[in-house]
Amino acid sequence: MTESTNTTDCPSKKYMIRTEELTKVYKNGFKAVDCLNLEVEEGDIFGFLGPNGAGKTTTIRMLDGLLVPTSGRALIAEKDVSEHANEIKHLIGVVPESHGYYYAMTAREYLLYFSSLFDAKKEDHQYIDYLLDRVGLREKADVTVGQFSRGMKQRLGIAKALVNRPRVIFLDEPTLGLDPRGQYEIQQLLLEINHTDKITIFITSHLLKDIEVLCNKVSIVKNGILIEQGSIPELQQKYMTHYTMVINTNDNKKAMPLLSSLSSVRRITEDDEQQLVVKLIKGLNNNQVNEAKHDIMNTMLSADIDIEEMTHKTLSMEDIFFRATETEE
Amino acid sequence: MNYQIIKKEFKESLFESKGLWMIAVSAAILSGLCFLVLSMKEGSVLAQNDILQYAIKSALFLTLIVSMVLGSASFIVEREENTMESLLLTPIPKRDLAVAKYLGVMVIGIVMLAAAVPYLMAIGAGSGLIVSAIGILFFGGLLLLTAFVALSIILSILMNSSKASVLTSILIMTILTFPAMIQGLFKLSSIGTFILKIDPVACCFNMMAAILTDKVSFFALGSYIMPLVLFAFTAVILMILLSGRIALKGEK
Repeated sequence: MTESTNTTDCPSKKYMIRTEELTKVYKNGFKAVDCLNLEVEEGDIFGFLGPNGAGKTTTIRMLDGLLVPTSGRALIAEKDVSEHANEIKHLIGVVPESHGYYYAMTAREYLLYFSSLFDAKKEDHQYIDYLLDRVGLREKADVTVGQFSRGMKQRLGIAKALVNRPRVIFLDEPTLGLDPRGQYEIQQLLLEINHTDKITIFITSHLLKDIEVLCNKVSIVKNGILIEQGSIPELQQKYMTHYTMVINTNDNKKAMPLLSSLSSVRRITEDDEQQLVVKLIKGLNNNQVNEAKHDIMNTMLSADIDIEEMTHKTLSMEDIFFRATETEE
Repeated sequence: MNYQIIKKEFKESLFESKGLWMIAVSAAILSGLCFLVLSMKEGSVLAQNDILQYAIKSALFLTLIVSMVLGSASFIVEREENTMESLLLTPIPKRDLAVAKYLGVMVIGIVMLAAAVPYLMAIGAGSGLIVSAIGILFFGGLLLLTAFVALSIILSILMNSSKASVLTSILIMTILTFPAMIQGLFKLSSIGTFILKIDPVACCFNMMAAILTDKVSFFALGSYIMPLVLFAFTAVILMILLSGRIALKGEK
């Protein structure tokens, strides 16, 4: 099979991960992944979301070559994973969901061991020290992994994924079971790796906050089928059916009936923090939204109501996820 | 072949899979046997070559059982501890992984065989049979070890739980050792005689008797050696062929 080149519609884009009609049907007939088409550009932090059993881990395993697709293709750096399995292993690093460790090894021994499996070189000792530094485990380098906390193990897992200097790393639920500080540390580490080392990151997580903080592009799958793909702002725009504002005033009681009378306002409610949540009518374009904002401000000013703060309410990743997965029920 | 894996497997078998304990227990059993034999030697009606044969059989049995237990848990432990995925994501071919695990366990087995040498020297002192006994221990022992360790690695590739794998490996060893233990009964029928001729453990024991008791030359032992060599060769080839089936938990 010939190597495919970048897609014709976007010749300048360099895809680090791409799937073409990727499908996996297990021996028992269960279709875990169904004609999945993904496109992840070089340098992206790509969030791959979906409910339990959506086919996320199966997709990762087809992308890293552990599972053979039933049909379709998985490509890493435009190389077919099935055809270049060994070459692909040098391009990728993986932090699996259930990551096991050799508990009797020290962190340094663990990384040196995996480094040696990817062609041991003398200078790799220096690189191991660099990795231990990078993940904040330099001081624990000679402590056995069995004594590590969950967060430290996860950071060691990320260092192991980087041991072969990959161009892309896959992380399956990297912050699962970590406390908020642990989650934050992993998020910062991944952002740093992406920014400094220019490594493409493919991440699955049930913690949608992770995705919001980290990812510039996301895909949502359900029952093995891709139901959404795009940047977070794109998805926010798509699923935000009504433009919504949050307004802090000095007199909510007076403001509510006045704003309700405006034709562009659909509904006004008061939230737990005593702020007005103003939802505009559906289908307004940008100009109409701006006009509606002016109307609101003029109405308030003419009624001598002070506006302390007025912000645009965006959809959280959680909102998008629920809406996307509900829509497709 | 990546020697780091063999080194790691050896260390793991020795220190983490209780290999060191098993070796220590084996040494204690051999010491006990040695003490019994030496303390009752003068009054014993047993010939020294018979005692030597018991010692060799004991050393072989202990070596094989420890090696099989370690081998049959090798890949299953990786699956159960979730370390298999990381291993399979390295460029090391599955065949090399199987061979590395195999060699790691083989080294333990060889160390155990070597540990039996002083006991044989103590038991066989003055008999003039020490060199032959050590020769049999290593020649027959290595061939049996080669085969049984390969079988145990196969089980660890194919089976899902370490309990099932260890029990099956012990069962296989028992089945293959059984004819050798009750040769008298087996010799009563032609099928039994045939089984004794092809059973590798029986062949090893009979070869030992031929050398130590009947003083048969090594070159006249082809009928005993062939089944042993074939058994070892087949087991290793099978292990290499089946290494392609090394898989993650739940995907076999």
